[in-house]
Amino acid sequence: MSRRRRKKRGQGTGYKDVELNIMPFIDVFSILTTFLLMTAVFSAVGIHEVQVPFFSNAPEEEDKKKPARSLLVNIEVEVEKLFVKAKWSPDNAEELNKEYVFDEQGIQEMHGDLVGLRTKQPETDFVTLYAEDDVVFDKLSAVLDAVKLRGKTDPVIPPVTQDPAQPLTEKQQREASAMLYPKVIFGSVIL
Amino acid sequence: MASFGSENEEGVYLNLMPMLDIFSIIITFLLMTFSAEPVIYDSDGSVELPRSQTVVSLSALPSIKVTTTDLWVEDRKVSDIVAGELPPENIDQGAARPVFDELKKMREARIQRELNRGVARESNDLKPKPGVVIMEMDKSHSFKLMRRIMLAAQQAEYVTFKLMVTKPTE
Repeated sequence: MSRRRRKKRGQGTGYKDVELNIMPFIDVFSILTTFLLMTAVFSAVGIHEVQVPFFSNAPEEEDKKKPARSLLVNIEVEVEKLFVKAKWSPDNAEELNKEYVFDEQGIQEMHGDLVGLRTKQPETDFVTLYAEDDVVFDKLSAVLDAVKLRGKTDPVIPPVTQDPAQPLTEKQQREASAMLYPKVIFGSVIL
Repeated sequence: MASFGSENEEGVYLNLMPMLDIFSIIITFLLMTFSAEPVIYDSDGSVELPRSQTVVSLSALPSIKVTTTDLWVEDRKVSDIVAGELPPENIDQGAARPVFDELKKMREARIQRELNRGVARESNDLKPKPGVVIMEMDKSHSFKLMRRIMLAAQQAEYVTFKLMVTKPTE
């Protein structure tokens, strides 16, 4: 059809057919596609940062901002169950002691309770995690997701700075607002 | 069916537009899923990482790799893994002995480098802050094995672990 139209347009008018050479265009597209396919990372690598207990003989830094009362959150991970135990220090008053089934629903339930604890005591930014030997890394990673990351519908917990003279950078603020409990200590890794 | 060379043939006109459409869609998709990570880590093909929603990316650090059959510290194989566990001769007080040995060597080398560079001059500076390691571990491994490796690293004064996971592309 297009050929017929072009013929008509060109008849007796002195016009010549103008053909756009799209071959270089296709060449560029092909090279770009090949390059992108070869360099594409379809599953990016991320990290979960965790710590293990470390005893140092260095003198403890005096922390004037340290709150008089703090909330200690412990999470116990078993093969089929999860436990969250939160106690106030130093009076040892119990804030939460709850058991969850170790499935998707149980993890979500635990996450909701942790959001409640963090909202109640934003200064406490760490949890201590105790895992059984039989728990596999895949399941542990799911627990770490629930503990460390703030969900889309969770309230934003503003990062608490120890030193107001040194405010957090934009990147630190962004990361902090994406986190629920940024610090996880593997309490069972000890001699 | 038209054949080449017949007199009343109009010629073959190849319509390239559908091909261009497909190319455009592929390029749009690839550009949207393209990930420019600050650090490219050559992940081992035999390690299957767990999935995660993490937002934190990787940084350049010493690495421990735990495949289903081997244990590596940096580029050096230090132990076999048999049925998800270290051989008994590589376990010392519950910790992975070869990991401790390797990390200790790396730590001493780091201290020496800092001394040579003049970063640490005072005797107090000789002991740098506790170290950080990247741990690439197959998702099927148990916490028991992870604990042994972490314990060894802890003894070598590496107390922060960056556990590698796969995260959704942004």
